Amino acid sequence: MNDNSNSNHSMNETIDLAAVRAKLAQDGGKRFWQSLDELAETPGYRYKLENEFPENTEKEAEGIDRRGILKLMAASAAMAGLSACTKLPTEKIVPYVRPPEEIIPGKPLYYATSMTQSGVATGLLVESHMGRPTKIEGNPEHPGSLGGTDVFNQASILTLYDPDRSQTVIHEGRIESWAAFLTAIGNMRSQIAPRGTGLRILTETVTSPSLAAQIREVLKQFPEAKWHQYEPCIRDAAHDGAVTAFGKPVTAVYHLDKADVIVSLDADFLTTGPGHTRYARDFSSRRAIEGPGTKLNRLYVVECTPASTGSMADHRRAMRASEVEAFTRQLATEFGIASAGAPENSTSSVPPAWMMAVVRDLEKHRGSCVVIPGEGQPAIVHALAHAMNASLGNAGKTVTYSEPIEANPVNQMNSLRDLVKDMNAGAVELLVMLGGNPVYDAPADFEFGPTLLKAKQRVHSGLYYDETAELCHWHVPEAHFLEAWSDARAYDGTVGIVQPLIAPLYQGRSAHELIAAVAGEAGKSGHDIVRDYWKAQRPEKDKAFDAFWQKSLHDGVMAGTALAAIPVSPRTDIGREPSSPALDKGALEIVYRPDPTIGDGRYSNNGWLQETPKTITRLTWDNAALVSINTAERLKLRHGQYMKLKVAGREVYAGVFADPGHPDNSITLHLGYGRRRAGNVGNGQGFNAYFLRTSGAPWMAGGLQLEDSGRKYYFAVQQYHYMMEEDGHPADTESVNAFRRDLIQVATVEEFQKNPNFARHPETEPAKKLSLYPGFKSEGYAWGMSIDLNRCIGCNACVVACVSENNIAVVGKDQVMRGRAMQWIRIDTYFRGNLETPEMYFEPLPCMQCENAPCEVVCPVGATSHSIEGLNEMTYNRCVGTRYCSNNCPYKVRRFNFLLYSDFKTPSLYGMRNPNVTVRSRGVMEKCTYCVQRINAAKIQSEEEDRLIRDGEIVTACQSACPAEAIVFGNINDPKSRVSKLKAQSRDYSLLDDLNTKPRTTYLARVRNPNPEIRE
Amino acid sequence: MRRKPIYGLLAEFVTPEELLAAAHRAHSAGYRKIDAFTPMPIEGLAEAVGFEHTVLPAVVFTGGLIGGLTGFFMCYYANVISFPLIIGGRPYNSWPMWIPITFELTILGAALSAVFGMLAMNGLPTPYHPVFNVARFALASKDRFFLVIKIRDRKFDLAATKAFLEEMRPHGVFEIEA
Repeated sequence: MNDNSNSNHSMNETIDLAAVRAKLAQDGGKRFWQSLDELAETPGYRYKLENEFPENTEKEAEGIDRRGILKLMAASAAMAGLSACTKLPTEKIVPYVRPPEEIIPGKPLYYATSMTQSGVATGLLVESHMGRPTKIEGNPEHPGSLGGTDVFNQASILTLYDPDRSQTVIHEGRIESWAAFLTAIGNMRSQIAPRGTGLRILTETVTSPSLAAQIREVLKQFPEAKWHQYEPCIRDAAHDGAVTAFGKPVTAVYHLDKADVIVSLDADFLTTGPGHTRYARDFSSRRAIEGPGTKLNRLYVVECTPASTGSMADHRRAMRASEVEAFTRQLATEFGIASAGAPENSTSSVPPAWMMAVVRDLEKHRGSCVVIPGEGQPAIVHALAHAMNASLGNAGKTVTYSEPIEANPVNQMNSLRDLVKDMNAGAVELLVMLGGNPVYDAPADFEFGPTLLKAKQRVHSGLYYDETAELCHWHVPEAHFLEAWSDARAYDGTVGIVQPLIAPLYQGRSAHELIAAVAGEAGKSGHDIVRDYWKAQRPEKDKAFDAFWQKSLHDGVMAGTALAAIPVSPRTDIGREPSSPALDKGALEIVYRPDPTIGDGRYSNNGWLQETPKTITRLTWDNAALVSINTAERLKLRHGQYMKLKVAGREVYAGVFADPGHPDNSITLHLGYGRRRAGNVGNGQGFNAYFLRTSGAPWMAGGLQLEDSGRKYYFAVQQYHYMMEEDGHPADTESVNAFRRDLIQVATVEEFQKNPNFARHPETEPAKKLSLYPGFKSEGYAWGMSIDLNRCIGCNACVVACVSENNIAVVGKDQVMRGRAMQWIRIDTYFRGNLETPEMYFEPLPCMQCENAPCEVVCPVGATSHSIEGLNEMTYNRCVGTRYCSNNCPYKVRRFNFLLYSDFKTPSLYGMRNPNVTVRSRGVMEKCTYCVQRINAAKIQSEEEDRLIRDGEIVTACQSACPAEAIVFGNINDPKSRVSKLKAQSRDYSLLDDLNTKPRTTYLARVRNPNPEIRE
Repeated sequence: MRRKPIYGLLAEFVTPEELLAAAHRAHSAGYRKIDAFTPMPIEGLAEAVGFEHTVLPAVVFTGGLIGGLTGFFMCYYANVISFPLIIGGRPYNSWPMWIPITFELTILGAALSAVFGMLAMNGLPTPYHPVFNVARFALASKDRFFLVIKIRDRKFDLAATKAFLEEMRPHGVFEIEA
């Protein structure tokens, strides 16, 4: 294949952008599209549409080869065995004489725990099979979750079992024991005693009250010691913004369930930042529709990098990140927050009419609106947002302020800068790093690696023997949160207990145990440290405390520990604060964002997350230089062109990715890739954007220069796989692809009220009567699913949850490029409107479980058939791999094991698997089962109790993971079930209705709530 | 000494016309178990020796019917009784799906009964035939035409039949040893 037809996306020379724009204009902006290739009808697009598994596309994949991974994983497992080269003690195997309480073999137990992201906890319930944690669910009792989860929560189970995890204490490259480390740390303690001169502790953000107390104890013991904090997804702007506005750091907690109007200032509050899982739940609760009369919230977003939050917006404006401050100042001026400073870059590209419409909408909803600043925005934006919220009467209603949830709120960049200064001055005798990987992710101007070597003794604790660990004298493997005791605060301050589900798989030690060693209290267990701390804190004594502790462990949260709202009022002269230095308007701006699936890089060795398509771009295994289509056109960049990016003398190579909806003259780089010592999965994927990031400009910078490297970069993008063809006609028809076939249904509130049945099309009905057969009558249970497109935020939690629940294999970049990704549920992204600021829509697509399933008819061996309850089932043992079923599936939801994708070799992964789901081998077709194992578990339970299954008793993995409650599963034969009620709504529609497949999975159409004053 | 049993009488003719005439005469004389052997097909000879109709069509029809029913009920048994699967939302007894099998087995049954019915009715295969006991019979595939009147014929009488054959001036009349 030549270069043009096999490149996977737009911006080839062959794409005629003018023609594409004309086509979009012709359809009156009502056309849905998935890619530029589709609009331009390039030969490559036709090829992919017609070929389900485009064998020869992008064969020249760069990067990791999956078989290579397997080999390496096996090797690493073998090495793990070698690490214990001593004679194993004789071990006797004895069956349970008295079985442990509550364990019934084959029945999972659930334990509550908490996972922290940037220190902030999300409460989880972890499914444990015979002592092995296998699946993460949200904890409905925990305010940060309410039952929802995100991709990182879901994927954390793979990290626990990752064979690449650091397994032993390492001293200068050699395996050592924990006892040897304790001796060494004792010696170091005596060297720095009595005042602790030169002792530095570097942590990430700490919200754990008990860990903070321990660190403070060390600081008391050694008065000259210092505690530094640094985290790459740095939240200094929020910290400084609060200090600017209120004179002290506070934590802002938003109550989106009470907000009728939300303005996001480049904030992706639905998928990043503290409390995002809860915010997604609250936000989507205001997008639930009972009928045409339901009042919806309205979301305005000014956004740089297209993200989940922007796609949910009723009005989204693509705006350079550096322009948001000017927009915020203009907006604030309208509310009388004097912008007397007259900042030089105070004009934004937003038309005054738009701005005024937003202002009037906010004014109309005083006390029930909220302005949310983004973490990538400077402190002044945060301060102005606080001022606007105060001025609009939102404080105390839709936003409350509490004492900071962080144990020690500081400006982390300054904190790290101080540490670097001390190290350069040779003042650091002993540096203890609890987690974190600053050698990889500290700002480039700190040159942290070489500087670190100036600290005389270096101790690092982390999950992996990473870039930082290899420069340290001592490396202590960190216990995964599922292996350790701790506690952590949620976004609202509620303390959640981190409870281990399993004894450390390797020689992992928690931060508590390590810091206890530094404090000279070695040997104290993590459990005792945490429990004793709370025993000292709580008013309950003895028995009462035991009861309180039991309840806290059971619930996963300590009741009543949420931080109380405090009345604070912002300064009135915030507008006079100086502006951030202006970026050159003509020049390219560079914007850094945590990666949507691997965060700041800590998850980069997680194959599930690597293979999860990133929200909107649907890119896997890579990061890219995201650039708007106009800018690409202006700079003559092609999609996939491998460019050298230069900022202030630092450079990095990256592939160009044309991203519809991205603002012009701006390039987004996602952090977290380009790891050197992540492990066999993460090493060498993508490029390292930290090479460009400096302490002065952690989120955006100007002065970016591009230089062509003359090479081409191949991306593995899932957007172009599994496409559903619009019809069998030649592709030059002028009508609207998805719109015509009703793949996605959208109306505004106004249209919905006028025609509540907009999603249904009577002209497709007659086809249903053409069937030769009477149709199968399903009595008893009939399982069905309803997916609310109005609630889906496209966060991918369902995708990873499904992978985890159903033992779905990771295939690697090369196989993804061939269209062989195995995820059973995918989230299709549709665009509508122009190329610059298209509306974005998500459509999660599991198996439709068609009643008249086209796949079943063509199977020559009866390997796929229906259950009496309406499930479209695969019988793996009968499958001979003809792939006819996949060929005949109009929704393209079947996945084939072209190679032996499942890892049968790595012992550590055995424990991770769901014992109730077969691990599939090569040559077998697989697909969504509606989590049949969960259905059967509930059926057995109900039959034991001689009753019917209750509505809501069966929750599929995707449904339980969804933070937005977009997915509802249940018995459609029961008219009172939630799913039946949703399906009875007028918004309910099925995909490709006219094929008479009668899908059991149906969709609730999206209803937008645009401001009638704004005509775009 | 006991005579060897005979199969019948064989008359040898030089021309097909003689044979045809002899066959007609033998038939009209009331002989029914007669047979003729020639080096090439001779028009009218089959009718002359009394060959009128065959039951093969009935055999073929029965074979086809059995094949078709087997096909259908095999599908029915498998899909309805033995291993019912819901395929594509159809009732278990979704017969249109089975028509290809039914059709194929109908054809198979009919074809097999045609072939084997024909062979059976022709008495094939016949590894031993007494006519070859007459040495001159080898000429039947060269230039001589033979008429056989079998001993099984009700009218057969060795002397009388031999005389009857002699009347037609054959090249020779031979007794066929059984």
